[in-house]
Amino acid sequence: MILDLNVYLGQWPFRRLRHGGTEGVHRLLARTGASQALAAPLQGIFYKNPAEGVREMLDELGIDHPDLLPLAMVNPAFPGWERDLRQMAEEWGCVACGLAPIYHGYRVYDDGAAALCGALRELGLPAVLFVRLQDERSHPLLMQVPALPTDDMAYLLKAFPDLPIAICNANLPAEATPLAPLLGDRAATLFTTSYKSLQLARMVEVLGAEHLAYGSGLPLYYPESALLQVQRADIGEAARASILGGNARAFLGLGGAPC
Amino acid sequence: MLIDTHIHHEFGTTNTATFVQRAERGLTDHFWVSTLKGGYYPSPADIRLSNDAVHVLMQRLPAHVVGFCYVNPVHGSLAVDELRQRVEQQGFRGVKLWVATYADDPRVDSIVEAAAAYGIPLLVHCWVKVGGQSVSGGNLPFESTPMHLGRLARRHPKARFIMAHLGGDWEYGVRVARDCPNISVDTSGSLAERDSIESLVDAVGIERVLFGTDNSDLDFCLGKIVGADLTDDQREAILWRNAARLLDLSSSTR
Repeated sequence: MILDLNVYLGQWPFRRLRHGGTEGVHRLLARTGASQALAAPLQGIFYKNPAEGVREMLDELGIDHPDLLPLAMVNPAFPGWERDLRQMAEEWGCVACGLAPIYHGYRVYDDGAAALCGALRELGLPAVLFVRLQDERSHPLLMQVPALPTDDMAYLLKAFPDLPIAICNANLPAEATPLAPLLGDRAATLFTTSYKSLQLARMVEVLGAEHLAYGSGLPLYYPESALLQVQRADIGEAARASILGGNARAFLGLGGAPC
Repeated sequence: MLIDTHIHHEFGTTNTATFVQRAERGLTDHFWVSTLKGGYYPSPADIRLSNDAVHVLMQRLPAHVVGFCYVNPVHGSLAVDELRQRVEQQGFRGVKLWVATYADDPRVDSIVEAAAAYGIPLLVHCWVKVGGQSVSGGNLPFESTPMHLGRLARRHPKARFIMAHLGGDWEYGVRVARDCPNISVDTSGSLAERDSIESLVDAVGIERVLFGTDNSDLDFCLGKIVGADLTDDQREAILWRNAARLLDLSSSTR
């Protein structure tokens, strides 16, 4: 059972997506054999008010979307986020909360970020941290967004040890390897497979299979590029099953045992 | 059948064992190989070392390795002499241009003319990295964009070029290749933006699209072709048939 931990819904402002929207995403998920996916609202990343982007995504999804699990999105520098977050978790059915400090213009060291992480723990929502959305070389000229520094990822992992965190679109192994020593004594920490070549067998050795989760980045990226690497890596079937879905299901509280 | 039209020897973690393993496991039938010693702006000695390394690999795996001769156009007649020697004496069958000069620098012309006379293609690095105070630092000094290659290709209509990794930013690369019928495009590299392969095929037709890795993970690169909205016949054309036709690989690698 494949769970894709990194799928985007909504409008990508910079080019037409041949498989955008709910219908396109479903089509791509079916091709990869994924039965569930965590759906991140693109508008929630680009709007000043992320809650409006989440609401748009839910409107597009409608009520019958058991395979697409909605991701909340919060900017702790935007006033009133606390009420939005509670609504997303308790009324809108969001199963995790996205943090995009590089797009929302705050630092993980800020008081707002600390308050958000505290609120997530209180609500029992895991965090999904976006390191980047696209390769830095290919950014639109007028919207160049630096990747989240590795030091910022390390700070979050250390400062909030009880908060499960999935790190999306990190450059494996360059950005994940320095974080390996921090993973042992904290709550669940996952790195998605959704960016570039993975050197997956090496990453299983360095991080442990329990810290990796299949995420494709569809429809911005070819999901098969991530999927083939997981399916054909020399890592053993138990590790592969965990990476393809077990770890993500445990992270999201959907049952299923991690590796 | 698989032909990797863009891979570098002794580059990053790629070494002889990489080629032997992929060949022995049946993962890749032919590699079009160059080596890039000496940094971005190599000396004549660096160039010779690079091409020597490829020649050794050609001898180690003669049924699998096609040598691409690395040259630095700044070296003038030395570069042409290097190309002639490698082609005529060692059976190299392509030219590799990296970032030592812009592709449309006049010093490139004599190399292109020699390659065209031999009937061998030139694999040209291209990228468009957002510039100025950008998050990526922009292009390296003298690093070509697809537009540089486009100007070169129009200047030499009888020469055959391969645009590396869809031009880096595929939206630029596709446009340039569309209007230059003597440019083929390889799908190699570290980016897998969805829709790039379909857009390329729509723009240039299937015959000018070549598979490559540029030392990225083989499965990562295969995923772009497997995942694109193509027919099985089109995938086969990209994975090997177009490349085999370009270098007439039906009989042997030499």
